[in-house]
Amino acid sequence: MENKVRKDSIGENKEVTRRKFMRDSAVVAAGLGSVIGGCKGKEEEKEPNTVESGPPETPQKEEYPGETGRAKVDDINVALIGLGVQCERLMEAIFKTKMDKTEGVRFKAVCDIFPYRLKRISGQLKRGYKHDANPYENYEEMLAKEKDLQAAIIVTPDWLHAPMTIACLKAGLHVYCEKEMSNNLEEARKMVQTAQETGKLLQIGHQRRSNPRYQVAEQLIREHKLLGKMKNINAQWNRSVDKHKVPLPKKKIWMDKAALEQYGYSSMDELKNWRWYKKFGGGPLGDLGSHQIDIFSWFLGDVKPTSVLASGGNDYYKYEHNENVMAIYDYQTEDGSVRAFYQVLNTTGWGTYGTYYETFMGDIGSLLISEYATEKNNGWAFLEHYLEETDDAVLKNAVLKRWNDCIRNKLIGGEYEIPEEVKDASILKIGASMPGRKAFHYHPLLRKCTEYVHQPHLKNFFDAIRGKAELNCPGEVGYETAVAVLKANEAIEGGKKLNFKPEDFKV
Amino acid sequence: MEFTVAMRNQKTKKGAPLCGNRIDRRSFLRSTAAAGAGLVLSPMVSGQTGSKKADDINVALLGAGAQGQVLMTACLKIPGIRFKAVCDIWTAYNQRRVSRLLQRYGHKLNTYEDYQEMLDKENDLDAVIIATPDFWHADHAVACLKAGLHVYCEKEMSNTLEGARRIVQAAKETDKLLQIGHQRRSNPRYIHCYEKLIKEAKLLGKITTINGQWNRSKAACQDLFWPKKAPIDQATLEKYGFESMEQFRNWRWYKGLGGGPIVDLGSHQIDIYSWFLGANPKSIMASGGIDYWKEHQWYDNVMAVYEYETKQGTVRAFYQTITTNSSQGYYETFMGDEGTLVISEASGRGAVYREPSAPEWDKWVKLKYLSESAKKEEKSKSGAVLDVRESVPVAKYDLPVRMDKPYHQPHLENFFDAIRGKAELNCPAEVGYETAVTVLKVNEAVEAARKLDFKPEDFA
Repeated sequence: MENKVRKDSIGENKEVTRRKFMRDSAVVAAGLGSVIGGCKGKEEEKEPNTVESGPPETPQKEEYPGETGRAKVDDINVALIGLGVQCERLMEAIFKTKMDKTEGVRFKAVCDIFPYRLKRISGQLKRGYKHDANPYENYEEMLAKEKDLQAAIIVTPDWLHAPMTIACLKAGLHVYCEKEMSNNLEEARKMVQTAQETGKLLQIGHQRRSNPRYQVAEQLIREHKLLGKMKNINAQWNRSVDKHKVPLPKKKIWMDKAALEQYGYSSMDELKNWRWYKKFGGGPLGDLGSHQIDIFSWFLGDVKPTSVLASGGNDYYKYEHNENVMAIYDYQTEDGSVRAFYQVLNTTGWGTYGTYYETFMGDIGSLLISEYATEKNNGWAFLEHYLEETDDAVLKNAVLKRWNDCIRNKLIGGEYEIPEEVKDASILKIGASMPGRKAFHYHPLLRKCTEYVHQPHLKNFFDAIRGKAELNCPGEVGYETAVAVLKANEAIEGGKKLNFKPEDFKV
Repeated sequence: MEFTVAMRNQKTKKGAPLCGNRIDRRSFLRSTAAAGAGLVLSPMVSGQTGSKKADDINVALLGAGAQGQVLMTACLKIPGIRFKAVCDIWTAYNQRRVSRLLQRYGHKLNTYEDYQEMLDKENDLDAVIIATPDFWHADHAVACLKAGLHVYCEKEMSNTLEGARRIVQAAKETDKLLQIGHQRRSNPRYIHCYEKLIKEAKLLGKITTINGQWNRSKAACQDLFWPKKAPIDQATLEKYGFESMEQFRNWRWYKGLGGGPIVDLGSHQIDIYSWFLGANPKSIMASGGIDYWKEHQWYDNVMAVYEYETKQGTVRAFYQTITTNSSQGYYETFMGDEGTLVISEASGRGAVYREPSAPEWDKWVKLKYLSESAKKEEKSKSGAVLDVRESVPVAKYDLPVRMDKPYHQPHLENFFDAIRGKAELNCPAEVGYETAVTVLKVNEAVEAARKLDFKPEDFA
């Protein structure tokens, strides 16, 4: 919905000038920052969100005004829209990693229709972090009243992403919008168009795109060709029965029916478990699958699927959305056909390698990675065992050189004792094509990521606002993923292979 | 049409003498056992040098290639099995190799190139083990059944449903035993999982999902070669339906001869899906292609999704076979709302995992249905913060049953026991047929690029 006040204000308001300044100065770039605001080399910012291998880089000079607190001109004033569980994830990612200080992130406004959450989160911000964020129930009112915002972080149910994102962009804000971009492709398209028209940044919350572990994995596959010709991808998110829904809050704090209806919900369950309703979300496939299916295209070198075939059903819970879905995507890359299987379950939580992960398989190796990393289980690269035994010395040397280069560059570890829990949790230990034969060499992925996995993606967004980085998941990319994912639901209903045309992915 | 032993006698060309007591001995084999006679089995394993015992079983091996050798080796560990004939068209290699080996173990046998000739001349056979290429199974199995032999036939029953139907028909008509080589059906570990864990204890709760795979490395999928000094001559190859040595060795990849990896490997595992669910699928969709091995005719990369309707509701079953990467090898996973079973034919690979919300399994540990895993799953993982909607790690239990024999031995034992009337076949013709219907449809579904439905009568 267009906001007249905001539109008129463009170019006149003081803060717009400042906003423009922030990006322009960054584009003009180097050195300028130090002239304007106390730039300091931030030693604490060691989080490796870049993926360069080799010798450590010299610390980057700040090219934007620092966050010393005297010249507030450099703060990024942010509105947080949608204060549910996911919002807490993002807040943690900001505050636990001190991005509020290092990146100058100031929450100026918070918005949620649920008074309990609004009070709770604004209270947390104020008491915990001294951010005086004005609370709003209505985002349009917020946009009309808040004149000093540069960015919005939108963490509402999927069906609200488009209207909110579009309003924020038109109000001159940069937007970080959670995935799935929208549960409706037409709306998703409008979001991208609006971003293009307004020239504002739109980052979609596929946070693996900024995760240094994933970035290195992509590099291993694309640049170092560690897997050879990639032919298969498998990924899954298996969720157990007890976790398939968000528990409802105590009844005494529930919104009353009239208040709910005013915002389009008919019950608290609709509000809290919107993911299960077609009107509000894309179901488990959109919610969980979109994170992982997004990675398929990325790791294949920005290749979009050519078709999808899918089966799914809702006969266990009888909700609107399918609880269990299996989808097969076909891709065409420079190495030929690639077939990818994706599964999301809400009836079983077990998985070979934890509940959710992605596996990429090529003719010389495979790579297994999950966003959920542990100290000992950070993801793995496996070399196909036959390469040890082959008589083809040329092949063997070429492959081993590739792997050894990656070991030398500390992208993967050397031959590694398989930790007990991996042996135990899984059947990884026997990958044998022939019984009794050792199948893999285990090489752990070495790059780590903060446990607050949304941090690098948010940082990328803030960096982009300052002109220091390109967005890792701009609206156009988010749209492509939304197309790939939402079409799977269509494929289920169609009961046949649904073909994509290249133009399907264009806005 | 009824094809009796007498009719076969008429067909006997070279006037091979019919052993008059042969039939008597055969009927003795089954009737004594059927009568439940506590006949003491000969303790002699292979090395059949002595005179024939009443319950010895005379066996012919038809097809002495790699798989025939696997079966033959397993048979050497089973008491009372006497190999009397080996038939293979590759006389200079397979036939020679296997017959010499068997002779070293004391089996007195004749060798044949032509199975008809073998059936004509060998008058003292009780059973045949068929391990020829799929497109020969129907002709071979039907001829052997009609010759009065019990038949152990490797899967896939046939490369065509028409062929598979002919076999089922012949088994019915001749009333001979026909075991199809889905050997997991006789594996004590699989039997324990199905009978005890799934059917009786219902440990998995409501099964909603199955995943299975056979991922093979590129190295394991290279074309097979042959010693250049010992080929089969072209006329013989053509007589038996092969264009070349290359095709003879790699028949699995050729249309009209085999069904590709999905039929070769997938068939074993997809068979288990139906067994454990007690149902046949209601639909199939699949994606596949000649993605890597460009010179082949069959798909080297196949992903299939079956839908089953069971009494408990819908089950979706994924199966994948790939030929370029061995990631995680081969296994089947059955997932229910209370637990997950991971099982593989590969020894030592099997476990049961309890879902967080499922009732405790202590009772089943006490009853020795499960054993407590020596190593517990990582209880609380450090690292990424768990979302409220993320599942917590689940508890692991081991299978208490071991299988130390060669994979095919129990299935062969079941076959021989059935001949002796001591057991029911674990994979009779009808079961093999249902699996053939289920599996052969994958290739069809790849081509159709849509969901194909099964009707109940498809399996009849």
